[in-house]
Amino acid sequence: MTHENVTPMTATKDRVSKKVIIEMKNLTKVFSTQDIETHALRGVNLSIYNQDYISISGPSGCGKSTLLSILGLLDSPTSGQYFIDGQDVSDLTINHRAEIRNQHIGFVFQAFNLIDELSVFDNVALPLRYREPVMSDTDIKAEVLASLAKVDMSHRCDHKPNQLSGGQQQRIAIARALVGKPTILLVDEPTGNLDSKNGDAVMAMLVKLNEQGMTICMVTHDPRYADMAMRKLHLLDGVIADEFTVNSAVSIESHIGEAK
Amino acid sequence: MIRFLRYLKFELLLAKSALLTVPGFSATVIATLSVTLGALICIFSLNHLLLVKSLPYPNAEKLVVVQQSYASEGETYSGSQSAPGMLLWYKNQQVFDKFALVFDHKQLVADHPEQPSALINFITPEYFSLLMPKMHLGRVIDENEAIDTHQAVVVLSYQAWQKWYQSDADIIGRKTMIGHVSYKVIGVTSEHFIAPANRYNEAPDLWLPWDYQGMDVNHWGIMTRALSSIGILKPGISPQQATPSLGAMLNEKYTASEAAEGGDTASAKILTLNEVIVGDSSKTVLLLLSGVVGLLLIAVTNVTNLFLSRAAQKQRTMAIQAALGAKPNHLFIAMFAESLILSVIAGALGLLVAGWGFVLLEELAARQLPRISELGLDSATLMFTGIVVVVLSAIFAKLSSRVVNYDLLQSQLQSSGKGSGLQVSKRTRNFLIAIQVALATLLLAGASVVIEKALETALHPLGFNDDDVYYLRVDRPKGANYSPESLVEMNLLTLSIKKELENLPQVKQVSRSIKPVIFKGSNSMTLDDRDGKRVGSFAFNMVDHNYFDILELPIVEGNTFSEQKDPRYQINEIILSESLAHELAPNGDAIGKVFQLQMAQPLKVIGIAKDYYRPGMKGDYGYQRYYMPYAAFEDFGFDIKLTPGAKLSRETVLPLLLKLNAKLRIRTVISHKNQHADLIYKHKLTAGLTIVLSLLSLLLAAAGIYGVLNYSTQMRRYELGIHLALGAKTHRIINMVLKESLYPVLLGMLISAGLSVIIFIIVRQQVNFVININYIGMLSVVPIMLAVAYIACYIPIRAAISEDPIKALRNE
Ligand SMILES: Nc1ncnc2c1ncn2[C@@H]1O[C@H](COP(=O)(O)OP(=O)(O)O)[C@@H](O)[C@H]1O
Ligand SMILES: [Mg+2]
Repeated sequence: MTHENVTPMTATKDRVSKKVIIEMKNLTKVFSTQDIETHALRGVNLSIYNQDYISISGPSGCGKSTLLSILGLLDSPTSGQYFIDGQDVSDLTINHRAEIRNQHIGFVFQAFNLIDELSVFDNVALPLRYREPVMSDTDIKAEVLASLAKVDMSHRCDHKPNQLSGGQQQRIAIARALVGKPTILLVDEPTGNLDSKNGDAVMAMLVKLNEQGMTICMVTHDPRYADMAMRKLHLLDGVIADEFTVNSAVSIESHIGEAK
Repeated sequence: MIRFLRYLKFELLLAKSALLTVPGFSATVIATLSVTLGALICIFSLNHLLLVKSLPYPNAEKLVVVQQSYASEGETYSGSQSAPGMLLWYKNQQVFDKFALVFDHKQLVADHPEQPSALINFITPEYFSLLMPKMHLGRVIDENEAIDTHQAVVVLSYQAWQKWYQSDADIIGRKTMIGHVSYKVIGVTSEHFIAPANRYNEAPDLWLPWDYQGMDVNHWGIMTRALSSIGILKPGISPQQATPSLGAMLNEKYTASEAAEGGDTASAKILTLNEVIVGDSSKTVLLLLSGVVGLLLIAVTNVTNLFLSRAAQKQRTMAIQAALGAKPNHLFIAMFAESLILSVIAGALGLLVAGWGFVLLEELAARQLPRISELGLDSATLMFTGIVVVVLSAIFAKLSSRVVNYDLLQSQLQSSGKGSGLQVSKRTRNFLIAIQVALATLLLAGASVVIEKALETALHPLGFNDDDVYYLRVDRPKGANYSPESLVEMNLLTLSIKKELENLPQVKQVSRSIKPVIFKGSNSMTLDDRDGKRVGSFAFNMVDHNYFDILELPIVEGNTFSEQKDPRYQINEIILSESLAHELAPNGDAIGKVFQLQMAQPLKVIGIAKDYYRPGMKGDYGYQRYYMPYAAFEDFGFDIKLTPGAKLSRETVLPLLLKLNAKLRIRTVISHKNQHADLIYKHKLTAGLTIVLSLLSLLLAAAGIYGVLNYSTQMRRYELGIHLALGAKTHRIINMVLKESLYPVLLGMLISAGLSVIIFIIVRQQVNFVININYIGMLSVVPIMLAVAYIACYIPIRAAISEDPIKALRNE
């Protein structure tokens, strides 16, 4: 791996003009079971700016998923502060957290996590069903179709997830994450369950989305994919060990070409 | 709200397709709920009808019944009414706006080829102006047929008109022969008119004017339960205000009559018509209700358990929904949508089951419970069903979405998708099992008491031989009075009938008697000693010398009566049952003692007959009875012993009677066996229904325990697999798991024992009679419950153990 086009994070000009959308200050997470305390996160400080493309990597068990869960309000930190759009979200009611997840967060999981009983259309529509005030069916339909179009899956509207390939399922999952126009897309090992061809396609899609202005935070332990991000965080034992920032996102073609 | 409904609609669509993917779960929930809801709806309707719904008459809640009570020697008798007392009130009372007399009596429809027995209400015209029935044809009995006008008219019920008059549309103005009188038909009531039934819950077939009731209305000593009244008090007069004046009026005339002895008094009592009709059936129906509520609780526990497993199954889906922004409310609604669909289907099926239950009740219990013919799916029942369905759905949804740990949802999403599944906590599981066991044990214990009581009556040996014995009852011919000449004439007639019967080829022996050996209700007459002092009131009969022979009822001491050939005999002998002999002569010297009926000739004890059992009698007192030689005081009865296997029918007997006297009418011909079967029918029914209910609750409880343990064993497969892989013997593992599983079973039994004691104490305070409980019967519930629980625990463990451990370890 070469680092020519990479500079330390200290001075980046275009960063100043960007808006901070997520901020974590000295965040910790301790899992307590009967007799063991696991310190999964030990004081994480992180600011995410609008239109960032961040990758988080690190050895297994270092706290990547935990960090992502807390970022996505699926879990709450043990201590520290967490702001989204300047609003402190470390201490909210279950309902309020659900609302924020619904409006600000788009999730993409390693295991796709589509609901097998629902059609592709209904899976993608799901976040909009929970939206308040309630959206009309026509509005929902328009948004869902637009979102499916972005991932090239409009033609599979009426299929069930288990009738699709893994790559297609992950694209549906991305469409579902996008449909609610989230502030940030949280992606956990998106290629973990895919072969390399499908994995590459999904990664290309994420890069394209970022170019269109979507903020993305992705966990991966595949260095090829981590390198595609603008900011590469390295997590070790529950703290951010170091960060590299790329001046602009590297084109996916060059990387894939390199890998071949 | 609209938002909620729109979201619910979406979730209902989801739930529908989701449920189709788990047909086993859906079918089990629907089956369990529909059966129990059916039973609940049916019994609720019954309770609502009897305890809440007013009678189907205008001003129903204002209709009252005034009854006479008589006090003598410190005891109060009410129920039996005297005709002069009723007429006194009818003619002189000032407190009623309208007041009607009703006399309930059976007569034969004489011009019908089969001479069916019809239940007649002899009434004064106010009866119809109080009840205001709609008419199918013609008019009601009105002022034209008021008391003492002697207008021979009849009003038919719709059912009688269909049954016996071929629904003849031109029947108005036609004549029909009822008993010995020809009446002109003036009306047919509407199909939907439900007249107040008598104390045996029989509805009248026809109505005749009071003038034709044929009782001795001047004699205060003749009292009958068949006589009653219906009235509506004047505005502003309460029952409390009306009672004293009616009581005083009655007391004055009664105490002056020949029937009253010094110190005897009479008073009035006003009850609502509803109280009189419902009577103590309210206890029965409430008992039934508590039974089905118990059943429902078991079913609800079962279904809750199924929903918990379902929630575990849906855990991943719910985690995904939560990650996408679903609130706990959304998850509740998702669960609610599923439970609502299933409960609504079960509710609809339950209504079908209940409708079928109504038919069954009408078929089986129409004589035991009042107003059964009014049962139906009315708006109250539908509303109740709707509420129960929604409430149950909400409970299932709440309980099952509550166990979902919202905070741990994320762990579901990070794994590769297999997931460990939700663990319903051990405490919850143990609680579910304990509740199931407690409820089932309690129901079973209660049922054992009911079954024991019912079977005790139904299976009690009679003590006489009822094989091939028939009872024939013939109405006393019209015109016969109670003068000595008439009595001799009637005695003669009964002797001729007896002779004719004996000549039939299938008849072996005939004895006359004034009462059947066993019948519904009881008769008793006071017996005095030689000084005119009352020794008690006992069941009695008047029979021929061969009566005891026919019934194979041994005379244990002394002799039977001598044969009566001359109709002019004097009655001076008496035979006592063993129990009565022991009561009247504890030293065993009953033979030769002399008693008398009120101021009549002496009766010398010549024999002691063995006791026999009459179904429904209360306590040992029921065994005390005495016999006197037959005299034709009342209707004519004949106990007829046939050759083995032979039968006796109306058609065989009627020509013989008409040959002797054209005015004779057959009231009944019935074998003693059938008579007995009729009498114990109710008890057999109770026992049968209770056994079905107990089996159902056992089955439900077993299924519930099985469900819970099956689930938890499934959850422990991995752990059990490790034990097995490490070389543990299967029986050790089975013992280990069984021990853990039986703990909540025992806990449940302890709870039920505690609850039974509490219930027993409460019941003891509420009910004033002593309930003898057969503790052995109740304790037998314990091994049954244990066995069922053991099997329910064993099956899932066995299934988990018997496969290769590697399967469990791979979580296949
Ligand atoms: N629910 C939990 N309970 C207890 N410990 C946990 C839980 N989730 C994660 N951990 C622990 O926290 C640490 C970080 O886990 P995780 O964030 O999943 O790591 P990664 O995703 O980087 O592999 C690990 O040591 C893990 O065992
Ligand atoms: Mg991880």
